[in-house]
Amino acid sequence: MTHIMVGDGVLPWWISTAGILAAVLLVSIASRQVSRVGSRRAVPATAVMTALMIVVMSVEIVPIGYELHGTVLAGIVVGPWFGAISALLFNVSRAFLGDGAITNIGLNTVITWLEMAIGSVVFASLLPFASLLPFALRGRASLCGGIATAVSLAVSTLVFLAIIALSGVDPGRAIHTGAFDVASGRFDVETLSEGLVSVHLPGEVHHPEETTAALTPFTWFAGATLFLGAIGWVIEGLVTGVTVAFLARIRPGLVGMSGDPGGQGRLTE
Amino acid sequence: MRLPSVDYLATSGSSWLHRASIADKVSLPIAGFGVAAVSSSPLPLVTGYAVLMAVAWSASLPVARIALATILPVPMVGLYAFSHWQGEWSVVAVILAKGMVTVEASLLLMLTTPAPDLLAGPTQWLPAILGNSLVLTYRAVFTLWDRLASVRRAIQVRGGIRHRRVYDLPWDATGTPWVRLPQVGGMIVGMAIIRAIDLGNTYEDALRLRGYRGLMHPTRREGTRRMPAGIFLWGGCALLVGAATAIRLMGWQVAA
Repeated sequence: MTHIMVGDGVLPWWISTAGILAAVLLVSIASRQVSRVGSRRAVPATAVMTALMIVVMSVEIVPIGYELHGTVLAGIVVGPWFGAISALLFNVSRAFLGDGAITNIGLNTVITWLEMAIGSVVFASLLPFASLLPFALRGRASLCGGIATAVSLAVSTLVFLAIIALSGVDPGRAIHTGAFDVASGRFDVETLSEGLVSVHLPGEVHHPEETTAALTPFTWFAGATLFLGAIGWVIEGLVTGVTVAFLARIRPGLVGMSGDPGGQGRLTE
Repeated sequence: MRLPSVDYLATSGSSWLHRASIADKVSLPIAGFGVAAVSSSPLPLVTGYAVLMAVAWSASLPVARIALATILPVPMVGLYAFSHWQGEWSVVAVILAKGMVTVEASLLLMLTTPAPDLLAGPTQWLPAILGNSLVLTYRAVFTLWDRLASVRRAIQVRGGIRHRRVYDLPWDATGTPWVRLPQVGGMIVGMAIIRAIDLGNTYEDALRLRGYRGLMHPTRREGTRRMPAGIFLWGGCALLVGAATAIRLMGWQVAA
């Protein structure tokens, strides 16, 4: 649901370019961060979680068109910085293995990373509070994993919808360019027709009929996405919750939970 | 399309496209991307799709499976297409066809190129951490598939995921109760993760002991490039993208 599965040349070039630049920046920062940590053992874990996402993406819940991603589970295991590397590799593989849309790799990397990073941060933030609950370790981990998944998928779906909404906007309209006509690449003949300084009232709408016309299909799309997505969040939250519960019991260090002297520490720390 | 199937087709084939160098086969995704990027009417997209399908057929690739793989993203792309509904079916068709052409073009490269050849280039220019992760990811996919296949067999011999007595097995099997299914699911995924991470660590250690320094090498030298294939692929790419550009510039619409 939070994946922009749209072919090349459909989204405006400036959105795709912005996505690629954002992804390059993100992965550069992440590479520096993880090199500083110098955890060689984290690389196989990152690879395994990326592979898990690639394998899981083959599973589609047909009636609602929802593909499980396992992104939050991967985020909980590898953390946000290795998550950025994992997100890029996942989306590159995905683009070449059946989704196409090479130009959207950047946008999808950023959205996938958001899912992983938010999931990881929410899970880590909830754990101390969960220890107050009268559940066993597994139950607490499961609950935190489920909530983290639902929150992160909800946020990333909203970001996804924002990008789709932006994709219907002409950049010339989204970014005020004054007398410069973006389409023709020239200035208006009457460049100074509005004077040297023009004052617009806040919220002033220049083309109300276009705004109204463009709103209806997107609202329908957003409603359908949120409705079907919510069902998917519950399913994915359940899968993540039970898996995190198992990992918390067998190898708690893997999900950032200490307390098992025999278990190994978190690989990305 | 599942990676093990893709890998099998890429390594087992011996057609002219399999033998062509990767430098020439890069023209396939470039052609798909180019046609998708410049087209605003269905005609060049459908033509591009048909030409690429003919290339797949000539390389003895499973055309039906490729066609199915290109259709799979259609529901989500279709949702996007209808969100931009302007009363014209040709707009929806163009958005759908763009997705299908790029998927098909990418698959043709993947289905005819062994993974070491594909990974050799990126491991040379990517930062070490990305290159290493890429190589290990490729390996981990097979480890995970193998683990999941084992688990699937284990579930089958215990009676499947439905809680009922199974009579066609030579032992007592009653399946798994619905209430326990989430717990069993968590166990399956969790075990696969733990096992795959352990195997990944062992694999990386073994690679480094055998002299791996983060670089993959292609399975054959680029010197074996065959010019006719290169001319055909790059020429076809230029022709497709050129024709799509011409149609775009001349404003030809299929509805017209």
